[in-house]
Amino acid sequence: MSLFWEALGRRTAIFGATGASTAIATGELHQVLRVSGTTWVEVGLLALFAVNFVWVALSFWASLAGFFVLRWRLGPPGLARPRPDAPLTARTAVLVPVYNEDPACVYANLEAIYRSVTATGHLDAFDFFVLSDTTDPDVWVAEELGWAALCRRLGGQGRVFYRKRRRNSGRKAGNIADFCRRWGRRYETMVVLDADSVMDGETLVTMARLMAVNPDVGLIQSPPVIIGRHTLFARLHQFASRLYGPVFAAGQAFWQLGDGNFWGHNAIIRTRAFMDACGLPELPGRAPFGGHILSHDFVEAALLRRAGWRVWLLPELGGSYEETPPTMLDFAKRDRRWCQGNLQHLRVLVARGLHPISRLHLAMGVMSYLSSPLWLVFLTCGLLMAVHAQVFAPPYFPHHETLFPVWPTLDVARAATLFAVTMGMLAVPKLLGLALALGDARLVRGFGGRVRTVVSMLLEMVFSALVAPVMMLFHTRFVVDILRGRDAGWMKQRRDDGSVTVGEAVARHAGHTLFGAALGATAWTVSPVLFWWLSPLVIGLILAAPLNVLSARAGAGAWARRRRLFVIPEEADPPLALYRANTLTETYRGLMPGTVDGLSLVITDPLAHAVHLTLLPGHSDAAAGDPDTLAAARDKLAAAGHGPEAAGLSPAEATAVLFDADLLTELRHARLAAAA
Amino acid sequence: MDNMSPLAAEPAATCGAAAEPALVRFFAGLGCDGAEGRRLAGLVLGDRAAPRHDPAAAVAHADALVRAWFTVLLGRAAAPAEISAARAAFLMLDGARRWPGALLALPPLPGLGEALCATCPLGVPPAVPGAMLDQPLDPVWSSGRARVRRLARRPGPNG
Repeated sequence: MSLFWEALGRRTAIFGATGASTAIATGELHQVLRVSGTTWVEVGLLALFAVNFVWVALSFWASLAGFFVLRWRLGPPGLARPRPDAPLTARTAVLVPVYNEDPACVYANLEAIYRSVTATGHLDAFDFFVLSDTTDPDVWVAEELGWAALCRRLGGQGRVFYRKRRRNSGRKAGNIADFCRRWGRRYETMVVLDADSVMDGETLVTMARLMAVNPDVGLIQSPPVIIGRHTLFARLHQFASRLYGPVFAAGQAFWQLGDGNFWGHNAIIRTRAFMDACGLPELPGRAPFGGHILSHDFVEAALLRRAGWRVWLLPELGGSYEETPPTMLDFAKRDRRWCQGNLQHLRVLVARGLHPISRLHLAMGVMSYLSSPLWLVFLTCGLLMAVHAQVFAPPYFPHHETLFPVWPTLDVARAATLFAVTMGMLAVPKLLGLALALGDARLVRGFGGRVRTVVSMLLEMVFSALVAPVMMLFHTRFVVDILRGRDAGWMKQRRDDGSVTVGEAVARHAGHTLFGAALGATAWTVSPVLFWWLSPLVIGLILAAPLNVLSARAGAGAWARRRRLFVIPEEADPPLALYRANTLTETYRGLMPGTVDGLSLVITDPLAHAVHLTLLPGHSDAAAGDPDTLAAARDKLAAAGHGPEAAGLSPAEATAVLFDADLLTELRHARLAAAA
Repeated sequence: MDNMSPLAAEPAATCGAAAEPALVRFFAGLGCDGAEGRRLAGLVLGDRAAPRHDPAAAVAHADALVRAWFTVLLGRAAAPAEISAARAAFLMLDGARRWPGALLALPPLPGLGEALCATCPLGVPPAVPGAMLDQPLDPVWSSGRARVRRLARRPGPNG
C-alpha cells in the first residue's frame, strides 16, 4: 500500500472516530441542556463544548492507536530502514544555538554528545557549532572560554566551532538561517539542538543514516525525554512526560506519517531543503502578530511539506533528551512566549499552498492556547445558566396554559455519564502509558517498581488536575494580553533549579485565588451539588500559591526521589551521554570565570584576550557596530583611566568594546603598563 | 638567538628602564615568570627601537615582536586572528614551561610550530555562502484578490 493510501486509511480512522465521539458527546450535552427548551446561550455552549471536546477526542483516539503501535512494535510504513553498519558519507553539522545560557551546562552537554559520537566511530562525519546570540557580555566571554576549554579537552580544534552574532535578528530562526547562509552548503544535514539538549551518538548516527537512505525526507524529529530537574514540579512533569509521552508521540506519529511536525530541536534537517524552503519572512505589522515569526518550528515544517519534503516524527529513535522549566511560574513564562508564537500562526495557517495536515498542526498549536479561554467561557456560561435557573422560576407552562405544568427535570445520570466519559477520555492515554510500563519489567523497575509507578501516577494526576485550572487562567490572560497587542519579548529561559518565594507566588496567584473563591461561593449558593462538581477547579485555584511554592522546591523533589516517587528510568540507570553531561557540568564550572566582568577578563587575562581575538573575525557583522555606543564607551574608559571596572560601562557599551579588537589590545597594553 | 632574530643576542642592562616592570608583566601573561620574564624584557629593551621609558609603548613594541615571532613560527603570512589563536594555543599548552626559553627564540624549536598548529583554536570554518530566500506566506485569498485587481485594471473594450 502506498504511503498516501496508508495515511488516508489511518487518518480516516482517527479523525472519523474523533468526529463521531465529538458528535455523540455534544448530542448528549444537548440532551442534558434541553431541560426547558433550547436557548441561544445553550447553542453557544454546545458549540464551545464541541470545539473543546474535539481535541480531547483526538488525543484519546491517537493515544489508543499509539498504544497498539508500541504494544506490537509497529514501525512506520514508507520510511526506508538503513543497514545498521552503513557508512556515513554525508556530513552533518550539530548546531547548538544559545542565548544567555549557562555556558557550563552548554559545554557539558556538548562534550557528552561529542564523546558519544566519538564512541560510534563516526566522528569524522560530524562538526559541531555553538551559535551564540548572547547579549550579556559576561556570558559571551564565558562562552568563548568554555569553547576553548572544550576544544582543548577533546582535541576538537577544527571540529567544534563558535560563532556569535552581533545582531540577533530573527532570534533563533535567524541564528540558524545565518548558519545556513554561511556554512550550510558544507553540510548535507544539520541537527538542531537546544541549549539543554543531549543526544546519544548512536541516535545521531541513525538519524544521519535515515536521511541518507530516504532522499525525499526533509526532517526527522526525535521526541526528547524530559530529564535532569530536581524541583517537585519539574520531577512531576518529567515523570508524566516519560510515562505518558511515548503513547502520545506514537499516536501522533501513527496518523502523521510523513506529514509530521518540527518541535524546534533534537531533529535532523536536510540543509539544502531547509535553505531552499524555510527562509522565514517578517510578517507585516507590529508584534505580537507581526514581525519575526516566534514559533518558527511549526512554520518551517509546513514550508518543508509545501516544498514536497517529508517530515517524520520517529518516537522509536530514543537517545534524545531535554530539560523542562523548574517551576510553575517558569513554565507559565515559557508558555507566554509559545502562546504568542502559536497565535501568530493564525496568519500562517491560511498561507497559500500548505499541506492540509500542516494547517492542522498549526491549528492544533493555536488551539492548545485558545482552548483555555474557551473552556473558561464554557464554565462561566454554564455557571450563569445555573444561577439564572436558581433566580428565575422556570416556565412551567412553556407553550400554553394547561392544568398540568411541565416540571423541568435535569437528567443527572446523563450528565454524570458525560462527565465521566470526558474525564475518562482524558485519563485513558495516561492509563495506557501505565499499562505499557507495567507490561515491561525492566521499564517499570526504572519508574520505581509497580506500586510506586501507580502511586506516582495517581499523585501526578491529582497534581495536574489542580494545576490545570491555574494554567487555564494563565493562558486566558496570555491570550487577552496578546490580543491587546502586548509583546512577550525574548527573555532568557531559566534552566537551573529555581525557587518561588511566598511573596512572588501570592502576587502571581492572588487573582486566581480570588476567582476560585468566587467560583466556589457562587456554586455553593446555587447548589452544594454544583459546588462538588466544580470542586477540583475551586481547590486548584484556591491552593495555587501554596502549590506553586511547594512544587518549586528542590527539597520537595528530593524528598519524593528518596521515596522513589516520580523517578524515571533515565535516573535509575542513566545513559552514558546523560551521566557524562551531569558530571561534566561541575567540571566546566571550575573551568569558567564565573560571574566576573567579561570585558575586564578579556583585558586582564592573557588567555581570555587571545581566545577572544581569535574568535572575533568569525562573528557575523563583527565590524558593523554602533559608532555612538563605542564612542560613549571610549569616553567613559578615558575618564575612568584605570580600565573597564571603574568605567561603569553599560552591557551595550561593554559589548561594543568587546567587538573592537584594536581597542581591546590598547586597553590590555595600558593595563600592563599601569599595573602596580 | 641567531641572525634571524630582531633582538640582541644578550639581554640589555635594564637598570633604570621604566618600561621593564610592564614588560615583565607582559611576558608573565604568556607564562614566562621570574627570571625568564626578566630575560625576555631585557631582550626587548635591548632592541634599539624599544621605547625604554614609555611602558605602554614598550608593551606594544613587545607585542609586535611576539606577533612577528608567532608569524615565523606558523610559517606563513598569518592573519591577526591566527596569531591570536597561536598565542592562545601557546597558553593552553603551557608553552612557557613545556618549552623553556623558546619564546622569541629564532629559529623556533623544532616541533613547536606543529604542536601549536595542532592546538590552535579555529573559531569557524571557511564560509561557503549560500542563499536562503524569504518564502511567501500570502494568504490563500491573496491570489484571488490579485486576480480581481488585475481584472479591474484591465482596459475595457473602449480602452
